[in-house]
Parts: sequence; C-alpha cells; structure tokens
Amino acid sequence: MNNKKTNGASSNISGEDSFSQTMFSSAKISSKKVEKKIEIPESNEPEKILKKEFVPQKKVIEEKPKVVIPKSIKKDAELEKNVQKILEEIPKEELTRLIKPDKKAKENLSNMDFQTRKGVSDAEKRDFVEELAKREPDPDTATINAAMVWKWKQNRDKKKSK
Amino acid sequence: MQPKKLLTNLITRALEGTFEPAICKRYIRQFNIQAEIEAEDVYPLALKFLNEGDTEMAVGYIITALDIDKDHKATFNLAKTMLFSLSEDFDKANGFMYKQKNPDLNKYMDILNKSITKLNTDLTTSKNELTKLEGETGLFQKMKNKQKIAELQAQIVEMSDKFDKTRREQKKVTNLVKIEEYVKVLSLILEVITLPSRYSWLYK
Repeated sequence: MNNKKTNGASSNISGEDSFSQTMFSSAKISSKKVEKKIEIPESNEPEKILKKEFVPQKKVIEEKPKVVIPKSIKKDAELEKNVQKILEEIPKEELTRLIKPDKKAKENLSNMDFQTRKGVSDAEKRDFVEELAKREPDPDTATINAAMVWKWKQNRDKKKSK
Repeated sequence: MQPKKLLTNLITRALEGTFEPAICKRYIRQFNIQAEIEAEDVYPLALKFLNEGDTEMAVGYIITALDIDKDHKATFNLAKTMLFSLSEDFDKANGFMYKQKNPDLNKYMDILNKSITKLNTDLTTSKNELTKLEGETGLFQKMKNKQKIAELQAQIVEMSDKFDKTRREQKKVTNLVKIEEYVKVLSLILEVITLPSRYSWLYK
C-alpha cells in the first residue's frame, strides 16, 4: 500500500531539480503521518474514512452548557421554562462572545458616548471598561444573563426589520 | 461610616441628578414591592421584562435591584452584558460614523424631523397645484399650462424621493438615538458602582 502511494506522488512531481526533490520528500513524510493518525483501511473505501473523521465533530456541535438555574429564577416557572429554552437555542460561540467580550467589543464600548456630562477622558473610559470585567457573578448566572441578552437582541432585530 | 440614608437609592439619585426628568420618568418607576424585598427577588423581574422585549421596564428593575443592593453581582452582570450588546449594535448600525458627522444625534434628529415636515408640506402644495392646473379647461389655457405641469411633475418626483430618503435616515437615527439612551443610562448605573469617587456628590 505504501508503494502504491509513493508511486502516485512521484508521478505528480515531474522535475529533477532540488526544489521538487525537497517537495517530494516532504510529501512522503506527510503521507506517513496521515497514515498513522487515520489508519486507512485495507479496502481504501473513502466513505469509511469520512465516517471516522466526521463523527467526533458532530458530538462537539451538539454539546450544550449545563447550567444550574438559580432559586430566584425557579420561583417563576414560566421564566425558568423560557430561560431553559433560550439556553437550548443560543449558539455556543454567541454565548462565549457575550460572556467574555473580546478586544473589539471592549473598544466599541469605550468609544461609546457615556453620560451627558463632559470631561471624561478616553483613558478613564477604558479604565471603566476594564473595571467592569472584575465584577463577575458565578458562571451559571453569567451564562443565563448572556442567553437572555442574546434573545433580547434577536427580538430587537426582528422589530427593526419589520 | 456613611449614614444608611445616604447609601440607599444611589442609582435613582444618580440618574435624577444626571438626566432630564423626561428620561428619568421612563426608567425610574415606583414599583409596588414590599419593603423587605431583596435584590435577588427583583433580578428575575428584570430578566422577565427583557425576555418580553420591554427594555425600559427591564432597566427599571435593574435600577431597583441595584438601589436595594449595589453589590448584587447577577444584576450588575446583566446590565454589563446589555451594555456590551448595545455597543455592538451601535457599531453595526454605523453609529460611530454618524457620530463623527453629527456628534449630537438628538440635534440631528430634530433637523431630520423639521426637514420631513417641510418636505411633506411642499409636496402637498405641489400636488394641489398640479391638480388645479390639470383641471383647467380651454385649449389656450392647456397649452399655456403644459410646461408648468411638466415642471411640477418632475418636482413632485424629486421631492418624493427626497422625502423617502429622509424617512429612511430618520428611522436609522431613531434606532441609534434609542441605543445611545440605553447605553447612557446603563453606563451611568455601572459607573456609580464601579467608580464611586466620580460620584462623590451622591454621598453628601
């Protein structure tokens, strides 16, 4: 099987120059590496190879955060139900982005026009944004808040488009 | 140590001391709640109204929760997350670009409103004039009005386009003004808590 693969690779490389030889040798190395990881079956059927590669990815997509709903929310059964539904709906990357705002989000916020009073310097605005990050609740509460804010944004977008 | 009275309703007092009464009225509400209620009980109400899309009520309950306990982390985090989401919205709606051209969006909004009113009046006048000219009879009169009618028709098309364009702009700016107001209110709430030295006047 190895011989077959090597022959195939060499037919693609036509020149005898050093550059193509280097390329050829690197191609040999990489093909060996792939063989070790994927364990190509004797039959070489592409379907089997694809199945082996895609199964773990599917599991990652379906993974949802396990959140313990606080007692105060549980007192309102309807709210609890809504929170759980939204937690199911929210894409994982949106949740992560809302829980931990990136550099761009922080920059946007420090550029916003805060209160009506004048005299707040850019440095002070940045300090304020950094200060916000220090007061964090427990991860479950942060997740619930992020999910609810995400839904709120979705509803506002729907209203805008009408 | 600060007297207890000075430490209560800090957020409400900060808002009242910063914003116009019309804005305060939208967010500061007298909720019919028991005296012993805790911030933990008010926080779910903010979530509930947020889910219903009633932003002003949600902010109202955030103010109430933080008036009761300014260190209530869940409510503080909710306000913070809303603030980040709003600033992202502002950026996506080209808010920063608008602000460069028109630093005061409220003033720009007034200009747009006046422009719409004027365009609407001019459009009605032109349409009435056109109807009147088209209704005139007599061959000589019709010949005389022909050029005027063509001019008016072109004018009406032009004004209608301008009117639609201004209305679209007004819609965009209305959205930005609303976002900016939410941001100003929420950032003030969070600043009073995180940077109390800037609000020393609240403790006097």
